[in-house]
Amino acid sequence: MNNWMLTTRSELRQMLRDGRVRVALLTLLALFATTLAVGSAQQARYDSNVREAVKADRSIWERQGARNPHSVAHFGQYAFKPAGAISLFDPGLTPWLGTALWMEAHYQNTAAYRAIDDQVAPTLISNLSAAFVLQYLAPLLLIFLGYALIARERERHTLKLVLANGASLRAWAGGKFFSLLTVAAALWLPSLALVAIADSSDERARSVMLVLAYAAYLIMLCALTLAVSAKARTARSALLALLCGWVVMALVIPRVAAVVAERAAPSADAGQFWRDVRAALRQGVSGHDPADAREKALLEKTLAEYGVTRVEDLPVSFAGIALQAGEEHGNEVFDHFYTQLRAAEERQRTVLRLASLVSPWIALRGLSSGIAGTDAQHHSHYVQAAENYRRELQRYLNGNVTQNAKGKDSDYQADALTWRQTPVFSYRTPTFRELGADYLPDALLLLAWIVLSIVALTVAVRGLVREGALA
Amino acid sequence: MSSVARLEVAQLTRSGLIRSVLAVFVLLTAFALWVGVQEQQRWTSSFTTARAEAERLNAREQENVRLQRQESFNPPGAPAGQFMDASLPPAPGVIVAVGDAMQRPVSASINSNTRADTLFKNTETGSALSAALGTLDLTWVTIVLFPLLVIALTHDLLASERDAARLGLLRAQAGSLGQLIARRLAIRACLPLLIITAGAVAAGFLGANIGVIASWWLVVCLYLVLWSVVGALVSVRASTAQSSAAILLLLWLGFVVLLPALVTLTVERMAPVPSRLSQVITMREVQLGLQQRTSELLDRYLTDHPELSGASRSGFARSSFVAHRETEAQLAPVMARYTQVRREQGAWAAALSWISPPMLLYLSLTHVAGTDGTRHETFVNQANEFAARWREQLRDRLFLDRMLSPEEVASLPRFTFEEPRSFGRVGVAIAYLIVLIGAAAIWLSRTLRDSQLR
Repeated sequence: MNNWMLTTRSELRQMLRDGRVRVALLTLLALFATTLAVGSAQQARYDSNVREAVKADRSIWERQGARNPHSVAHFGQYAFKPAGAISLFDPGLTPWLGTALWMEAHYQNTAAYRAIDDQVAPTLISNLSAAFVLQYLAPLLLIFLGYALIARERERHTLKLVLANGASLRAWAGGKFFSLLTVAAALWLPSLALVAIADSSDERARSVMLVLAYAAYLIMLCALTLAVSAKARTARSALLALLCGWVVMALVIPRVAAVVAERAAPSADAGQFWRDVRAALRQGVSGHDPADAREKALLEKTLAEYGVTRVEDLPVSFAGIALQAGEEHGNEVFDHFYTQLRAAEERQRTVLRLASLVSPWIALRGLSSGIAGTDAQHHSHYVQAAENYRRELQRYLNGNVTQNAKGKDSDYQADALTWRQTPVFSYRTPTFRELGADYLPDALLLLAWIVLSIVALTVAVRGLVREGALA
Repeated sequence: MSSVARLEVAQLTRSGLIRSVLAVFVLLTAFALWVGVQEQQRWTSSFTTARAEAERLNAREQENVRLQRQESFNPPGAPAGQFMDASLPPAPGVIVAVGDAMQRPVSASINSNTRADTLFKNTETGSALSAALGTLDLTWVTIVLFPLLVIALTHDLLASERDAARLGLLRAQAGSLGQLIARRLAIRACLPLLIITAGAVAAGFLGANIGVIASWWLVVCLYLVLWSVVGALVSVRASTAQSSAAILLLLWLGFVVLLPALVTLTVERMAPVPSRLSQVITMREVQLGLQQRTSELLDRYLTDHPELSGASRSGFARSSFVAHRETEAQLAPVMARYTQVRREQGAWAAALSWISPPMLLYLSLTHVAGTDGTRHETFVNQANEFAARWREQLRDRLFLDRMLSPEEVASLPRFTFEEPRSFGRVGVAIAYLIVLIGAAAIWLSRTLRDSQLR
């Protein structure tokens, strides 16, 4: 048997001999399984609610009877957001994002009904999820198991003994590393269940990416823990350094980064945002104000286009044209303001990525929620799809008014069957292939952390070799 | 100062590690205070801007009525075209406890069609990215991070002497082990308390409500004293300083990280919130049902309100008013169910928080600071009451087609938030902490007595 295999086996035996370690390991695994089960039930319930709501809202839409298309446009439809592909594992930003978006005439609304608005109990660190167990708790177990692996040997002077015996120090350190990695693998293995339960090729691809990301993260943690253990003079100082590192990197830096990101690119104040939007909307045609000079100008232009002089002589309804002009103006306004919102969010994301240089937790969180489909990018995709549909629907309804309401205007009522002929909003979550490139920086940052930690471990072990030569 | 105390101070000030850790905590406290001040300024700015904008629009409407200038869908002075802002002023203790306050909507635009289920609309413009990571405010720093400082200072209170076999020597010098521990503990516990006290004083100078700061400071001090006594107890009982630190860190992990997360999960399981999507569908069904019945509804409303005799039985504003009232009435049981579930969740959270003092403290401190859900719920209730008053004032004019004069527009009611006065939860937290400190202190003294005998 190889030297490193012997060391691995011996270390593992020693670790597992301790009843507290066994209890901690089993507790974490039980917690992981529980959170996965709870997450799975939540996702199934939410998916079922979305399916029912989508069906019910379409049925309501189609049952409106004979009505004026613009009244129908005001009644609008709802776009319900499906759960993230693997939200059972990592809910990511889901609680902070809206779940239903009202698509009505004249307004591009924000997605409403966030889970966080209904949460009464506070969150001190994070909500409990399978991702939380791997992100926050698994590192602590690895730290407690790994801090003394090399440092204690130095403290007890057994390191000198190992070196004097002529054992290969690299194989010996490798054995220690693999023993810690085995425990990490035990924590990681249950996440493979995600791949097993995936019911589409995209979910499978996402699950594979997710388990790989967590594998990389755990490898990094093992290497970092062992590097600190090899570098520290005493086991106590190794533990202190590792725990301080965990507190600073996992708890403090992400929050500091969030504050800095918010200062660097402040989120819009809702009140001010809508005051600005309304002010901008007032600068164009509303479609509801015939006395408005811009609407009068539009009328003149339309009359000229059709070569007539009176609105009564138009072959179409001017009301529909004015309403669509109002929508077009609104679209420009909303594009402008929502682009600003998204740009601020993108700048915040950049700041957080920069913070990932000092805390791998941030990179992992971004990558994990991205792969799980529970991040801001996926939400933006849903919001954009809803907005595209809203604009299409408004164009269709205003077109109906233009074509059919001549001489009747607000008294015009479209046939009850009209609503069944409107396009159906059917949202499909983007595949990972579509958005995958967005997460490349996070993946690279995590990769950089792995390389850095392995280099740190190698350097620390080389230091031991030098120490051995001096001994 | 006794020789033990002098030695202790000298040891602490000499240690580079302790000095560095203390410096980090001083910086963290200052940063958290800065965050609190920034959030207070943001909230204040949002509040004053919303107020000023409402007043500006009111003045503009007065002018429109005077000049008979139509600027919107409604003619000048039309009751349905009047609106007023209902905004929540900054919480009195936002500097020390931001909590989730910035996630909640703090402003509503009230008009005659405002409904309880649509009091807030389009308020989700904030960034979920930074919201999900959380705010680093003074309360979070105190509850989550300060216990680690206390652990760093107290874990080797006695265990290190035992490690170095100096216990007998020290006992001979100090007289009794109890006195030795008490003096050491007093000095070591003073350091985090001094930082927190400086933070509280600074918060007071920066504009936080003094009563709130005093309550906050008292609760936080008791919390840190509890961790100090527990640190001393574990240090006395543990065989080595290292195992003392490990036990204390496990306690921190359990009480600060794990239990609050488990409590939140349990609360959500015990009182699950009904699907908001089904609320949307119920609302849509109600609205669909009312679409074809607007004239019937208007007729019925006017029959039920004989004081409105002479009112026209048509018109968009009147139909809309009646339809909104009917929608609100039909949705009332659904909305009541949400209120009920939120109360149940609150009761579960309060009950379960007893198993995790940090969670209880967080609830109490955000409550006293006014950044928890209670103050916001009060705001929502007051805003709904204001909307009802607003409707009452304008209803007759709306039905009888009477436009408002410039003076009447100027004298429309303004929303004033009545600050709730409830420090009960803080009192309970103080009593709970005192009991816990007492229990830990008794345990510590018994342990010391036993070890004296040994």
